[in-house]
Amino acid sequence: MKNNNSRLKSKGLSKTWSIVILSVFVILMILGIVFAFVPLDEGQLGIKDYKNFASNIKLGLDVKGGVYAVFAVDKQDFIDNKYEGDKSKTTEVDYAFDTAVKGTVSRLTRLLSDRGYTEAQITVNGSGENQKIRVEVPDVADPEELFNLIAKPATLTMYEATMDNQGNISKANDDLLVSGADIQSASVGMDEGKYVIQLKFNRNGTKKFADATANLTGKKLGIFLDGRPLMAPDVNQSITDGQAIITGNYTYEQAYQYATQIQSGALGVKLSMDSSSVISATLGKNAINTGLIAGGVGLLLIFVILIARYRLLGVAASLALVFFAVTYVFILSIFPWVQLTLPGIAGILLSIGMAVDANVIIFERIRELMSGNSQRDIRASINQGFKNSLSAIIDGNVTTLIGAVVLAIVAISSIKGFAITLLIGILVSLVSSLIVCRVLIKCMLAFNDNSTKLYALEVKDVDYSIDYKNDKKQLAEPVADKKSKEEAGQNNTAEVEA
Amino acid sequence: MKKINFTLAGKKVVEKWKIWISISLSIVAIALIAFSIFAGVNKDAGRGVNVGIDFTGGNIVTIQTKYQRGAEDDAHEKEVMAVVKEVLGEKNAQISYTQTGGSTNLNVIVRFNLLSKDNDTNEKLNNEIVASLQSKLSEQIANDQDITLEYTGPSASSELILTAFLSVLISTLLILVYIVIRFRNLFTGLSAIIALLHDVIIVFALTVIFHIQINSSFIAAIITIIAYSINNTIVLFDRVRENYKAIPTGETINNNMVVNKSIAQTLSRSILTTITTMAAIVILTIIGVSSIREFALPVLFGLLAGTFSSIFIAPSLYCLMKNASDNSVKRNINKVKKEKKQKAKKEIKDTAVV
Repeated sequence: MKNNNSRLKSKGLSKTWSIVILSVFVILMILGIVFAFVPLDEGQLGIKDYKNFASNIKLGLDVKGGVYAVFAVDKQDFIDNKYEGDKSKTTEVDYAFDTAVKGTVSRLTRLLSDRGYTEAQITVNGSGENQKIRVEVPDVADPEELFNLIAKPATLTMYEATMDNQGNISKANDDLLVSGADIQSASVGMDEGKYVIQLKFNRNGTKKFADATANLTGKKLGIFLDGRPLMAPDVNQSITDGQAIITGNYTYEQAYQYATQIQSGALGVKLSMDSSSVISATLGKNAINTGLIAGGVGLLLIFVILIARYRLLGVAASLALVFFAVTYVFILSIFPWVQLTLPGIAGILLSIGMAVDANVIIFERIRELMSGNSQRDIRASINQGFKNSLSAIIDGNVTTLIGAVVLAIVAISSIKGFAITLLIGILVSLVSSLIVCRVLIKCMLAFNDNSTKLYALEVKDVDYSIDYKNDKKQLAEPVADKKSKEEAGQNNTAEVEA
Repeated sequence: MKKINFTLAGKKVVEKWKIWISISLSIVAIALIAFSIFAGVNKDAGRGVNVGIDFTGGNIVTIQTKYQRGAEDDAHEKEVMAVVKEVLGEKNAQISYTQTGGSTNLNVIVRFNLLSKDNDTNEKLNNEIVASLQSKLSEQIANDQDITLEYTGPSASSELILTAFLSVLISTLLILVYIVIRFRNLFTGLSAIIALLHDVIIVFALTVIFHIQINSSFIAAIITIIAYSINNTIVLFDRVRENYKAIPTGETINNNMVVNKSIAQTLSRSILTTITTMAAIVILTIIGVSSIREFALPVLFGLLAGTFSSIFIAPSLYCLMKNASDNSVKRNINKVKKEKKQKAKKEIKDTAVV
């Protein structure tokens, strides 16, 4: 030990520094655990609004429950508005009504997700005349306000519009040309091999639209949804038959998107609230507890496995894992758009296991470097181990990150929340396993850097070379032609069967 | 205590690709058999896979009880649920989940699967259920008119499935591009991506075999698997890349040998990581309620499939492709005049090694 001291000073941390770092780390972690998980009563700390930060994480509908409301859809009102009470075209009316209900559901989904309720669930209950829309949202501060917003149909308006260089659409004047009530349907169609949006106007609308298009030929007709510009097609000619198409190089998806948006404004069905109430979580009350127990026991298991295999290195990795858990919970609690649902909880549990992956890769590397030669310098092997493993760790995590980022951008609602949880987990785990764990190991090395027993590095040399003697063909012609390869393949299967 | 050592050191792995692929194929075959059995028993092809009401839509029964909300909610819920379970059990309905609700009075809300694809039959059965509930729930619990049952549409929108599918597709492509750039090798990327698809297929197969209900959380499970399982494969190919680099220039390269060595070197890490990752999920599966299990089990399957594919499938595929391409390159070279010279050189070398 003593003759190592001079080397320690030049190569690593001094004992004093190690003690300081270790103590600060341990104190921080204990504080972290207390602030994260221990519920303290108000006033116990002298702080009024104290809440352990794990309880600050917003919980999803399936975990916490929330409020629901059932809205009745007024079919009579729909028929009166769109078909002037004409019930004769039953199939057409029924079809249009079903579409209208679907359009409303998609409008509500967007509306709620815009407001941050990505976990909201909307289902259509019943069928035919008695369709009802059931909306479930996680615990909200003011459900009354939210439900009023939902009941209010989207308003579609058309004005003369101008478009600036950036493509921003604005009203040219305040003369309302056509409103949502004038439109009978909006759908996707084909014209000259391209997807287009088809608009159909009712009797009133046909006249209004004819006048509008006559006046606006050569100008832009702005379509606004809830006052916000949706699109502004050029008017090519006056349209008098109440049937218009909007062309553009749309994909089916885009055209469909526009069509449903116009529908939702045009075919806005009147919703009236049937009932509303508070609901419990679908998962049962113990979902969170189950998750906590699984996480706790899982962590302990991982500690045991790590320490049994890597001893002191395992202790360092376990401490780093505590850092990971505390930091992860902290970050999740401060990000407003994280909402913990069942997949989210499972994702966190998985990431605990994954967080030690990098450390396992590194430690196995170190063991390999030390294998068959316990005289080798432990410190050098550890440094080398970290260095050699870096490319595997980076590549592995970048591929996972790519997946998470794409999900966060492309996917909708609940999956988005899950992707963000995953993303944060990867980043925190990289910090904990590459930086925190390394510093901890350096601190430990300050006390002892030559006991292979302590670091579980008395590893037998493993011979990874493969005996290809019986496979002369493969060795003689590593790039054998097809025929001999087939033979080699047959040899192998024969061997296996034997 | 004797140490347990898993090792593949000195073992041929990639040469036995036929075995590895057969294992996966037989799981898929068993899934197909299970599918036809489930479909046959229910006399309905759609029932071969246990699709939950998130996708199919179902029925929702709401019972507004006369109980005031309060401390005894749990006991009251149990009391009501005992009757509901009995009635639904008679009709072979599968309860997908139960909720309680209500602001002043306790409501019990139960969702269960469609009893028939035919609307009228479904409605007829629903009416029977309502009648049965009305007779079995006493006056003290609920009035007849406070029991409602209606069809509920699917809550997992086609948008959810579409965007999930789309994002998986995009990320798979991006991952492929990244791997090809980082590893400067198309075969690495291809085998990693095929291994990924393999994992998804195996998870789906096992889900069919165990008749686990597929709800919207299943999509999240598949996505979890895609995110995590690629990691294992990358770690292996990183070692392959390193081992290739270590070969002195001029020496003949035996792809199988390099890859087998890499598998053996990364094996202990693969197994350890699988264990640590599975630890918490296994416990969650054991102690969790059924809807948690519906999510945790596919994830577990995925972790196992991912470990298997990263050790056996991906490297085998890589060697198959790499050997085939080396062979065609070799054949082209052979046509060049240097053919004789090379052969002579190699023969000397080979005898030296043997």
